[in-house]
Amino acid sequence: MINGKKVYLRALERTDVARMQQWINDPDITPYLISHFPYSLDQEMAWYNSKQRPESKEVILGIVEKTTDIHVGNIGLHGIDWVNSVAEVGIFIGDKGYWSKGLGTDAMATMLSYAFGELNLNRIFLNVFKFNERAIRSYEKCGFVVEAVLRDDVFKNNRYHDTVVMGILRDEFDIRGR
Amino acid sequence: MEGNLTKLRPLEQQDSEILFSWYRDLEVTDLLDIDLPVGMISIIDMITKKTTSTDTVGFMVEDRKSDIPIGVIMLNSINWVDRKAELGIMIGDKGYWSKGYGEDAAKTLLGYAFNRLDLHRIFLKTYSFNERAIRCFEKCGFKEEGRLRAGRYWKGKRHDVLVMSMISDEFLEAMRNDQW
Repeated sequence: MINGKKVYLRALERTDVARMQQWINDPDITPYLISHFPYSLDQEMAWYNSKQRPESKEVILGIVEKTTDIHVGNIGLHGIDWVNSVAEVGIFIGDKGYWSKGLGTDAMATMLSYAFGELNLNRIFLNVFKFNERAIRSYEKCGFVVEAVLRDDVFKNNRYHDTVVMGILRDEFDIRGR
Repeated sequence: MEGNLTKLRPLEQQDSEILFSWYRDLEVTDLLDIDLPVGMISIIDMITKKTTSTDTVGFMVEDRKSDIPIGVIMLNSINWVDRKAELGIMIGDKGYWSKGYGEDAAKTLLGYAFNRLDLHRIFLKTYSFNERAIRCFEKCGFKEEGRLRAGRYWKGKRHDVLVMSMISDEFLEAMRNDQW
């Protein structure tokens, strides 16, 4: 368990899978996801099972609201590149009742302090659709800066959209503020 | 597929020996994202994937005059919904460096990617210190989209990773203006 201010991060359990399958099929959520396909409960379970082998290239955790102990979303480090000390972070708050309460920002800051302070990584980056302005604002609060705009990177809602790449380096993150 | 200097042909199992020699050449891999030794099994696995999967494809680059294999070029992570793919290229025969063979092979592959596969966006990543590659991709018409800070550790320091791309409209425009 990794402790933040409003949330803590914990390993995912089998009992979380049905909830996660609801989230990733929610039409209010899917516009912000990279995938274009609906997922069955079996597919989500297979995904979960595929993540249960010891795997040093990925850390996927549940975001839990502290006061209620409710699992509200997921956050993960993906494709950890140990030579260059780089990883990509992905996050979503799947429980819409918990949007815009600062939980995502807190979960991200908590993950950054884990990535830099425990895993000894140097660079964390993320991809976010350019139209997802709420997310971009949240990432800026954590200290991410825009590094690239990928033109026509994704097709959603009948047209191409740009993707923004944002990055933060270990030196730029205020780890003592955590 | 023929360019002016090169031609591209599908990879074959018997290419494994020459690919292995390039992937084990420290001068060749120095500027690429290959840090750990690549085994023969990975080479064979790569050839199999490039010729059986629908989300990646690879070609042997040959000198058009002599039919000598000089490198390999590929489209990785093809996404058919977003219609995008990542381009990767290696000129393994060092005698063919800095002579326009890489540029010619890349342009030939772009023609295939846009005209044949109907892809919309081709992108690539290269390192800020690989000036020869950056010049080559600029000549092909790729545009820089940004710099991923400290994405690459090389010779004791961290360096930026450049992201470059070409959109299908830009390719068609270049074709119309006969810049190809």
